[in-house]
Amino acid sequence: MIGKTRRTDETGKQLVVVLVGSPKGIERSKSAQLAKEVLRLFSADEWDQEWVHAHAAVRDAGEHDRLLELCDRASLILLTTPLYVDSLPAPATSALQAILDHRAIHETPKHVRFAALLNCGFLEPHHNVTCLRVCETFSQQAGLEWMGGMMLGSAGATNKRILEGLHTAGSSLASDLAVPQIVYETLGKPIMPRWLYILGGNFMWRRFAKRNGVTPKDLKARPYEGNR
Amino acid sequence: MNSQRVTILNGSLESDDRCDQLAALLRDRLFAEAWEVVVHRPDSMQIAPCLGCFGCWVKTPGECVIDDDARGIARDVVQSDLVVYLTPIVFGGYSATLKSAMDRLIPLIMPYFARVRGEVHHVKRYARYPRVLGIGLLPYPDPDQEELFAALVDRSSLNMRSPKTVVRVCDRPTDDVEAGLSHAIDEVMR
Repeated sequence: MIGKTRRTDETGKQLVVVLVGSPKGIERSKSAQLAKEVLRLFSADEWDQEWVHAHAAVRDAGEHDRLLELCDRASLILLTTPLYVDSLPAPATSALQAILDHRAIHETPKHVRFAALLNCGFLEPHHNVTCLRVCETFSQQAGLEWMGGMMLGSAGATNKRILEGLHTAGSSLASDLAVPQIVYETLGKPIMPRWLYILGGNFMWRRFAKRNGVTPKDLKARPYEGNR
Repeated sequence: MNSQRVTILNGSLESDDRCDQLAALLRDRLFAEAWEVVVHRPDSMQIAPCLGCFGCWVKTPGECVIDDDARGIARDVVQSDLVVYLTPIVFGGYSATLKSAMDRLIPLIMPYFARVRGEVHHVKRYARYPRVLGIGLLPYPDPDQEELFAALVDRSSLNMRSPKTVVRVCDRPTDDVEAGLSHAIDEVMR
């Protein structure tokens, strides 16, 4: 399959479009950082990169058109996003809907590949499973080639094993191959014991609150209680 | 006198009025049974995307830092006995318009983590949460999307700490569907 469906520009390079679904955008988000790790093994001699922020593509007509134009030239579209209430953040869904609608009514290239990189705030990466299936369903409906996904827990925290998994996935995607099963297994293991994540996480929330002058008691506020 | 309250979140898309028809059906049915009915259509409301800032947890606990219509939706949801997520099924999941409201419901739970059903989830902020009825509309039968939608509503409800969840998928508002919805409401409130 390698090379069989490659789409290149006049310089012989392929294009990967990274669609960032985090509200924090391309510069500041963990989602974008993780995508950079996946793309680490994409040779600059063979691949060009373009990055689009889903929120900008939804609110700005110019970015919307740029997203669609880039997707028409892409060999690979990589969606990288945090998990919001078990699925994609709303603007990411809107951006995917725009791609699907565009492909439904315009003459668009075949053999465009699509992969997803998901991260959630819970310890266990498997919280991302339903969202990954949503991404796969989009891929099928949009006529894209589904290359699989990467699912991270622990708010996208990385260690050596996780980075190796992301690099293995990137190496496969750069070779026009689907994310291999070994990546699902490598990324699927939580990075710490559950008790430690809960203890450390709860400590972290109290510390963040304290920085804002919010006490542990204030943090339990119920502003919408008792008004019925 | 039924003193129960239901909030219907209508995730209708501009290009598809089936959700509006179904929302009207549901509203009338529940109203006839003396429910207090609140209907929100996020598509026609001012709802900014969630900023992912966690301000609703660590700056203004329990309330989103963005002052728009999503605050009222969160208030209505947690003060209800039942919330209905009504949506055209999009890629097996929620429409972006419904999701824009759902993304802004996280002030209703606490930032703290706990073990729930063998996984890490957030701790409850309130003593009680509404039951959930998920209603998805498809243009044609699609078992894969139906199953995915049901799994998604189940997972969302677990994360929002709802005590019970029922999911139905249909293709258009008909008499059969109306009867089916009545059964679904009975089932979820039982």
